[in-house]
Amino acid sequence: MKRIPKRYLSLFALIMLMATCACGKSTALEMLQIMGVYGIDLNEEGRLQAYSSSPIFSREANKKYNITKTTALSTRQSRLQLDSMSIGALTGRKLATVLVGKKLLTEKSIYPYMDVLFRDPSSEINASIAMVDGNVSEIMESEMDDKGRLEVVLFEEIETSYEDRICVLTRAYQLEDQLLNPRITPYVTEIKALPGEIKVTGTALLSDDGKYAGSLNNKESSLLLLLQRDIGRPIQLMLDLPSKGIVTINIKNANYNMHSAYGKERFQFRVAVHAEAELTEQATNWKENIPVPVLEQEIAKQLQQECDKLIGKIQRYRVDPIGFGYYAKAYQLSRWKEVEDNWGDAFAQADIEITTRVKLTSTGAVK
Amino acid sequence: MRRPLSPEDHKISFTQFVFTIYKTQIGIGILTLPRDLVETTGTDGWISLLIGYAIAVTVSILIIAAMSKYPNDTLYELLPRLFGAWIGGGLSLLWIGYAAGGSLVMLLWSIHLTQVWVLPAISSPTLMFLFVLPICLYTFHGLKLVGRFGEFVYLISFWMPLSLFWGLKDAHWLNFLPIGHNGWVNIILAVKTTLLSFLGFELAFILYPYLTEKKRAIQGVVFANTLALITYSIATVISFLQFSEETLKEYVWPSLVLLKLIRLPFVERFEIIFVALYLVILFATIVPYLYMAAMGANRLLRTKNHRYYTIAFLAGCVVLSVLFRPSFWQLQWMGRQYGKAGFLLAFLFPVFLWLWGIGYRFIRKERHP
Repeated sequence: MKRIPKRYLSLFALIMLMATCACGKSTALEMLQIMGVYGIDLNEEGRLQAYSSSPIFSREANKKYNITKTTALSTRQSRLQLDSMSIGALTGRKLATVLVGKKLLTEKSIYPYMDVLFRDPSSEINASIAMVDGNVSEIMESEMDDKGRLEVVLFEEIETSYEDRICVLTRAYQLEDQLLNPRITPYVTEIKALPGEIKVTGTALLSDDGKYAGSLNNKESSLLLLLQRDIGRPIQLMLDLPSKGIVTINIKNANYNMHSAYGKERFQFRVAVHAEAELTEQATNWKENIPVPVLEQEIAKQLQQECDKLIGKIQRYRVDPIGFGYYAKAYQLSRWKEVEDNWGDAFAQADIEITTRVKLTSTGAVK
Repeated sequence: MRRPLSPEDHKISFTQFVFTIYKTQIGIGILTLPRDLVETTGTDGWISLLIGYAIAVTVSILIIAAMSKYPNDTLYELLPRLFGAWIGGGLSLLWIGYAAGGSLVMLLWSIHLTQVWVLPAISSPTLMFLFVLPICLYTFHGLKLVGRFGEFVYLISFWMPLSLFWGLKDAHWLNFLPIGHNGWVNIILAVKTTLLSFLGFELAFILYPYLTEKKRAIQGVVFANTLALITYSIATVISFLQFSEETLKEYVWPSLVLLKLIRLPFVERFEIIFVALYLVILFATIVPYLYMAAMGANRLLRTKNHRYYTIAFLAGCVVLSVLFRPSFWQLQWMGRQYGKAGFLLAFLFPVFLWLWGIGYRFIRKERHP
């Protein structure tokens, strides 16, 4: 093959580069409305209310971020309306947090509102989902003067609260999986607006059809994480022991033994939790010296009681955020098929027995 | 364009043989395979994958067995020899149509993929024009260049299936239990889906005569199929671990959704980079098929140069992209038709050819002892 002369080659390259230039609509950052927080709620008349918060890069503007608010029929439509009010094109590619109002979750299923997030290949499915106890507008309009941009504050707060193990963290793709998967019911972070503050109050549990079922506080959320086997980071728990008073332990590692059966017309689950913990605080009775085995037993007993309380609570709500359904399907398939569409109710009937054993590995720098 | 190709331009080494087949097998299928499997058999799909692998290996070995009796014939010389000029010519035509159809379907899929994931605003004729140029350059020379391209693509892309491990955030091993919960019938039915993912080994029909180390041909096809099996297993097992059956059914491109979960501190939307690089792998499927078609046309019409057919085909593709913009469902339909043809030609035909070859030689021996 005769070589193509060099000058043709450069011409060729030029043509190809021109073709690729034409494919991207180049957009300046200032002209983009980068949605960091997206909020949906129902207003008093039951219409969908959408909010978006985006950073402002313009030098002339006084505020660091801007909040847009609109009333719409669907999430997509609300996006269009928000777009018409914003300075530039609205994009969901950097979405960090999605806020959903409690009113919306109580009355309607969350799934159709999330659809647009899952369908658009360019949207961020790693955004975390949070339920607002109250109105979304309270969060959106709260004063952030001493904190910074709303989207950063929300993102950091939810993320660090999860790392401190006082709430769950559900990303959009996880929520979709939990909604579609009959073996586990969805759960999202719950936040609340206080004057000048945003507080992560724990976990909102949803039923399998995506409606609000109940809430867990911070401590129950920690226990939920423990039972969900989410122990990538240590779980801190405050317990009230009969001998030692209030102590705080740090659960660093845990082994689980799960046994499932079916009898007496209900599912039976036995969970054995073997936790390794360290004592990080003894708040009241610091004079008396209690032997470690006694301490271990008392902690284990206390932990078991707390877990039983949590199980009782979620069974009352008829939800299964721990995922016992996975075991039901894996080991009791024929029984599972009967209750597949209604796992929440079957789970509420189930017998669940939790046994705990705690091994104290250290008591810190003091005896 | 002037210099005719010499036999030296076609000689391929063992590694080129393996990687060309392997890279032809890995195409668009791996991006959708987890969903295709889940739709029929749920998380038992990995069993179907293993069965599909066993069948693909068997058929590939049969191809080598059928070809080894006539070591210097490609498929297009073998067919007239065994079936006579007319029937052989007709069968050659079928194969040419199949190979050309395969590369056309893959080209259209690559454009669709790019438009959905990377460049939503670009027009398909522009993309088609840009894609056609490198493909043209790679099919212009002999098989040696096709083989080298396969090797090259393997070297630059072997990290890609491994990157899926990053997307594994929370693994639910219980997703796999109980084994066989969707019934063994469905597992067998899903084998057909997995068979289509292994399509590409039929390239041995044209690669074998030019392979320098013919003794290792069987080893080569087994290697290629095993590499493909490993790649597919990574994609399916990780998808099954990460997502539940119900969710996987909702995803059109499950493997790419896995990549969306990857969050790196310095780059966002990693899947865009991945899809852009993945185009090279798709080209490694298009190039051998196109070469197979052009080579067949060249032999059938007894011309001296396969390049005319390549150019005609690629120019036709560009014109087609102006006239016809397939929707996702049309593409899926085309993919299914290609799959059906592949099932007949790549899976059933080699078995028939092998038996026919045995019978043919037996009868010849009877007549001329």
